[in-house]
Formats: sequence, structure tokens, C-alpha cells
Amino acid sequence: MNQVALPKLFDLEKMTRQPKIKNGFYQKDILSVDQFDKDTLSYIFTRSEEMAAMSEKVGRCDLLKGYIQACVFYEPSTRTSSSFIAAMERLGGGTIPITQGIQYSSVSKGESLVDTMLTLEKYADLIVLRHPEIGSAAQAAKYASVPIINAGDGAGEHPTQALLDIYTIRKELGQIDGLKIAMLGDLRNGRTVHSLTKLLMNYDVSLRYVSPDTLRLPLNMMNELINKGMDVRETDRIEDVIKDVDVLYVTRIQKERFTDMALYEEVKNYFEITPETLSQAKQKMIVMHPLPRVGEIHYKVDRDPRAAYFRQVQNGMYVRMALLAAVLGEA
Amino acid sequence: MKTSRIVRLPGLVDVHVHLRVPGGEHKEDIRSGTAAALAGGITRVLAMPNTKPPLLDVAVWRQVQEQARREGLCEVDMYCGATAASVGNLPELGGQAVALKVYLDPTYGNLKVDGVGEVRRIALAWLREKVIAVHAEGESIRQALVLAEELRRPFHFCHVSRKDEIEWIAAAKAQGLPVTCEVTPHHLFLTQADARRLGALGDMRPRLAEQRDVDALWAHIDSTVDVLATDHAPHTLAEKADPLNPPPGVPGLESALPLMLTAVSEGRLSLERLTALMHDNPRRIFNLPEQPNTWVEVDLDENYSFPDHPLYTKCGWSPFEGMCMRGRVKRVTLRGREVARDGIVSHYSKS
Repeated sequence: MNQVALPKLFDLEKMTRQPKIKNGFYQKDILSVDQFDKDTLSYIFTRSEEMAAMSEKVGRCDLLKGYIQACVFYEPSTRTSSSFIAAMERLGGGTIPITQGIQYSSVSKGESLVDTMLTLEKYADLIVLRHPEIGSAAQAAKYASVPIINAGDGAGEHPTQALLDIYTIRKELGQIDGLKIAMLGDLRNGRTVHSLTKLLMNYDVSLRYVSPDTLRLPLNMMNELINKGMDVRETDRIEDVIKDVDVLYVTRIQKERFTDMALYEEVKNYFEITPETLSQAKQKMIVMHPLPRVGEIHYKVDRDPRAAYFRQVQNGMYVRMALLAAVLGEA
Repeated sequence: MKTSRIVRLPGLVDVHVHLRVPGGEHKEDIRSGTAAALAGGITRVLAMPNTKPPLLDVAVWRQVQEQARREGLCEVDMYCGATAASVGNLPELGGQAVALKVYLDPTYGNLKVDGVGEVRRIALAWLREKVIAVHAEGESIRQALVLAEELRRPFHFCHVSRKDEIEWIAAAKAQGLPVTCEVTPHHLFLTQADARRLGALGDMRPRLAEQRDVDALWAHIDSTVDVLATDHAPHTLAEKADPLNPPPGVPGLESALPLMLTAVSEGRLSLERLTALMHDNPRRIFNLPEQPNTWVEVDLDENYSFPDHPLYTKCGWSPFEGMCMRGRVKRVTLRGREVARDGIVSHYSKS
């Protein structure tokens, strides 16, 4: 049989996919906030600002055209998954969204997660992973040949949340050093608090932790802060800190952690941020919340210019744009 | 007119003292440490095993105990320690040491054990009825409480310092677990704010906590707290001045009773409760014999700035220096002999 000579589809000589910029993030997994120091944070934040400026001006670009991310969410998180998807779309890339219907099976059994990673790496240039077990992202990273971005591994880490938190503080208040930052709520179980605390160890800040006794910051973390010589204090009264904080970082008190519902009701109301609470605060300060909220911040506070939590959501997209581009060698 | 109410207390017991022998004699030795105890109205000390070498086997333990009996100006009983590797020594040590000390969290020395599994093995190798004193902080306390429930052995929690911790222990006691606990004067009188002021001289394990923790300890002083112990842990000023890694620990033998008497004068504590915390309960929990003809006379009304005498502890400093105290140790009688008067310990000259 005669083979018909076809013209070549691709002129491969002229086609390359070389990273434009090889920074410290190129092809790296983003698993933990421990990977970041002051310089790398500064790099990501500068890129995030560029992403914000681009988005505000034209909405999208082709920086990541031709790249595909897989968004694998073993537990529901509309907020985080849509943030990653929007980030990729605005940079011209595509997404394989696996945010529904994927069966969670224990990492200790292993096969399912690993197989999923080994499959998706054949389609995607990077994988964004949310999984309910601590260490799952690290395990996925061990097997996958493409970079893994940890979008939350149970009570473990959620590094992109902490990055967007710091970026928000910087953007809103112009700097991080010298600020007095209070974190409020469930400090014992809240991974956003733990990750943010770790990142803030890179800066010269004063930290105030406000919580009921049963939900205090874990002692080993408190000891680490004191060892570092940080200015850190704890209290169970918001009145002790509200007057002079620059950042009030409010977290959800998780109902499911309580066996005594009466105690939950007491604690829940104790920490509600209302316009009256804010009337005691400085004029130049911000209120943040990783969201979703369930009554910790009264809806009336939303109208206050100091309420930064929805701007925080937007910043999250810019930071994720910067991270995606950096990991893919385009920023 | 100046009042002066002299009260006689029994010879007090301090169940948590680091005499630093062997291996740390430049910080403290048996003579200086026991002289400090007597100056502070304490006639019996229980010495901790995180020495160099640590007291993990019978040969070392017996040698140090004998030295302590020989050189001590007051009575000295020795704890023994345990690590995963030394579990085999515990049956023999159990017949001799006053109690066992186990470290679940890091502090000065190298006796930290890893995990509840090791603590369980150690506890099971120890005499069923004898106290296991634990250095545990935060989550470790909860784990040890679970173990106490499982094993039903007498766990004694050293230097409880935080509100959540004392509340956990209160709840465990309410459930009938065989647990006891002690608090230290520094955790009752100082906070993180003082730690800032004092720097390394205000650093110990567990660290100083917040005002709400101090308030909680006081709120439990008549109920959950069994024992007041000093955790006397001397280090020299030169060691404390190390900019990189000053060792944690503060001396406390000479300041404990004056501080607690001050609290009595302020109405925060009754004299009866003070006696229970510093004599009755330590004797009961650690099964200590009576010291016959032994008592401490204190003046409840004397005001002064601490210290009222040159410190006997070899380290030579106190985190409470300059504090106004009300209530002074006047005279200490041990087994019928006057051994200290107005801050001067008889037959002792500093070397």
C-alpha cells in the first residue's frame, strides 16, 4: 500500500516550551509555608501586584496559554477551587476540574490517590490538590512528576491561604513589619491561623492571640514564637487587644468540635465582631476572615471600610495567578 | 505600734528541687542547695534526676543519695529518672527512690521520652503504688491523663502553669483519677510580662504564662492544686547571659515561703492551706516520714524587700529580687536543733 506523503502538522524545530523565567519556584511543589522566606514572599507578592494590575486593566492574558491544571478536590471547597480555576483562566490556561464526585479513600491505603495523580499528570502540567488527610499533598508530590500545589490537607497546611493573607495585609496597610496582628477564634484547630503564624515569623510583628481557653494556640507553636523572640501575648478578651491592633484576623469557631453545645453558644457569641466592637478600634486597621463565616462577623460590619475579607478573596486569586505562573516558569 | 505575729509552721517540704549534683556543682551543690532550703523554711527537699550523669541506674542513684544524706544540711530524698533504654533498672530503683520522674516535654537535661507508648512501658515497670511525677505541658498533660485513667497509677503533674491545664486536671480529679499536681511560686506570681522584663532570668520550663493563667491557678489553689513546689533550678548568671541559648530555670527555695506568706497577708490563701500545700499534701502524696521536733517560725507582719539575706543558692540571684514581701522566716528548727535564724544558716560558710 502506498503511503501518501502528508505535510507535517507541526514545525517542531520552531516550537519550544522553555521556561521564560527560572525562579526558585519553577517546577517545585508548593506544599508548606515553610518553603517561603522573606525574599521569596516578596517575589510572589510583587508578581501578585502585576497580576492584579493586569486583571483590573484587561481581565485576562495569554501568559499561561497552553497550560492545563488539574484541580482535584477530595472535599468540597467552592471558594478555593473557583479561585484556582479563575486564576488559570485569567492567564489563558485551562483546567480539568475534579471538584465533585471523587471518592475519598484513605491516604494510608494510598493506591487511589497515587493512581489519580499518576493519571492526571499525563493530562495536566500541574495538580492542585485538596484532601482531608494531613500529609496527603506531600505523598502526592512524591509520586507525581508534575508540581503539586497543596490547597489544604486536612488539619495540616493551606499555604496559598496564608500567602494571600499576608499579601492582603501588605496591600491594605502598606507593610508587614511593625504591625500588631491579632488572631481570634479557634486557634487550636484552625490551620489558617497556624500557617499564617508560621509565615509571620519571617517578619517583625507583634502577635496577639484571642481565644477561649479550650481553643488556645497549641503550646508548641506558642513556645516556638517565644523562642524566636517574637512579641506575643494571649488573652481571652477581645477588649484587651481591640484598641491598638492593625489587623484583626477572625476565624470560624467550628461547631463540630464541641460536645457541649451550651459552651459553643457561649463562645460563639462571645466573639461576634459587631460595629460596636469596631468602634473601639483604630481608624486605620483591617478585619480579615478566611471565610466562610458563621456569625463571627455581623453583616453590618461589611459596610465598614475596614472590613477587608472580600478584598481578601480577590487577592487570593491574584496570589494564585502569581504562584501558577511562577511554578510553570512564566513569572 | 508595729505588730508582730509569730506563727509556728511544720518543717516544709519541697518536692521539686534541682540540686545539680552530680555534674552541675558550679550551679549548686548539696550544701549550698540545702542551706538555701533552710533559709527559706524548707526542711526536706526531693531532688530531681536530670543531672550529669542522670540518675537512671542504682549505682549512680545510690552514690548520689548517700552523698546527699552525708552533706545535706536538711533532709534530701532523690528521685530517679527513666528513659526507654533504662526501663530495666526500674524494678530495682523502685524499692529505693522516693519517686520516679518522667519528662514528656523538653527542658534542661536529656531525659525526654518519646510518646505515650514509652511512658506506658516506663510506668508499668515502676512500682504500682509509687508516684510517677511527670513534666508535661499542654497536650502532653492530656495524653498523660488518658494514661493515668488507663493504668490507674498515681501520676503527679509537676509545675502546672496554664488555665486549660489546671482545668483538665480538675476534671480528671472529678472523675476520680489518681492524679495530683503542683504549682510553682513563679507561675503564681509572674507572667509573660515579667518574662519580658527579666529576659533569660525569667525563662524556665514551663514558661511563664498570661495573667488569665495566673488567675486560674489561684482560683484552684484551694481545690485542685495539691502541692506548692519551687522547681528550684539554679543556673549561674554567666550561663544565663549566654546570648544564644541560655539554660531555662530559676532558683526558688529562698523566695517560696516569703511569697506565699505575702499571699496569706493579702488574703489570697489561708495559713492552713499554705501548710497543706507545703507540708501535709507533699508528705501524704510522696509517703514521707515525719520530721520530729522540726518547725519553722515566721513573722506574719514583717515587711521587707526581698532578699532579706545574702542568698545561699550558689547561683546567687533570684527572679523576685526587689519584690516587697510581707512575712518573714525567723527561725528554723530541725530535729530539735536551731539551724537557721533571721536568714542566717548555722554552721555554714560560703566557700
